[in-house]
Amino acid sequence: MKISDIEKLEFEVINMAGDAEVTSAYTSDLLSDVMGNAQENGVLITIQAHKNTVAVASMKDMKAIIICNNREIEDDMLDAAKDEEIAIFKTKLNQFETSFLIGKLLNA
Amino acid sequence: MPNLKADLHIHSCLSTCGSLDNSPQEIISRAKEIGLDVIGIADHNCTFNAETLFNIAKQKGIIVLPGIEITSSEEAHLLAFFDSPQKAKKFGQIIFDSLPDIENQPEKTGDQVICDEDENIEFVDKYLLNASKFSFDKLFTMIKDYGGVFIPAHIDRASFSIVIQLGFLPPMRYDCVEITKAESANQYSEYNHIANSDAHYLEDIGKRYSIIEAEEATPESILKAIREGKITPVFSPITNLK
Repeated sequence: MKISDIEKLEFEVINMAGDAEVTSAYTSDLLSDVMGNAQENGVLITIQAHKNTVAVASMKDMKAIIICNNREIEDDMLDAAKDEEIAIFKTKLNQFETSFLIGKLLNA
Repeated sequence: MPNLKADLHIHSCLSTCGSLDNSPQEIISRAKEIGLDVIGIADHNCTFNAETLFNIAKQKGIIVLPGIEITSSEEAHLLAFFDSPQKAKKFGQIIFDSLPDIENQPEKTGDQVICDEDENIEFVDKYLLNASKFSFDKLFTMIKDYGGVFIPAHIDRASFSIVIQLGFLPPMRYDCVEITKAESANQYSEYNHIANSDAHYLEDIGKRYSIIEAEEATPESILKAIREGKITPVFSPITNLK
């Protein structure tokens, strides 16, 4: 799947960055857990809507972040995502519902 | 009884998100220039620069409380301060060793720099902004056993605060709680409050601070005053801040 496939899920686009291939997904709200276990070229599904999330995604070479439950995204998170060229989406869905949709896309 | 102007939450060049400009020498010069009497050094999950800062401060006539900003296993930040750099060093090593073995990527997060009194530098390879294996509760006991003060950090902020991570502030015997806005005081009225800058850059030192009413201008006496709640938080920059 590609980043543009996430866009088709009608999530709100906060930052678009290229259209890289996404090969995995990781769902977690503990950034240290993401640091330890997420895979590269992945999408991160989380409610942690701040710039540290972007830093961790960048260190793990992840391509996109989906912020769930319509959590408000801080300005410095958006700035960091632009710098690091990581896409950000926002949805009213929770982490489980979002993971389910992304799982279907990855298996398609 | 001196009223000491204190900013206890200051990061040095060890904290990845910080800047190479905030070496121990520069931090002490800046703190003195803007009129702080006491600063706390609180790098993320280690204390490698604490002794250097303590020694430089002594020569320059200001006081450093050697401390640390720990990320608990719940990813809540908390501050601990000790009355001697030796205690801070020993305690800091326990926390550093409890971090997962993940390497820093300086090109993405910046360097983590240890700097001695002669400005010789050394890099820390393990990524510091990770979570310790110890829980918030466990750290409370550990810090108390070491004779330190325990302060939940920036509890009114949206990232890495115990309140955001758990959804509430666990009722414990905190020495005080750190808040960043005057409006937060009412919400946490059962605790004493402290305000600090959380500076990662030199120019941010002193943008918030606290007046501590200590019997003497010594680390022991300042820690005692914190425990007794003799702290007045100030949510505006110190007057000499240019």
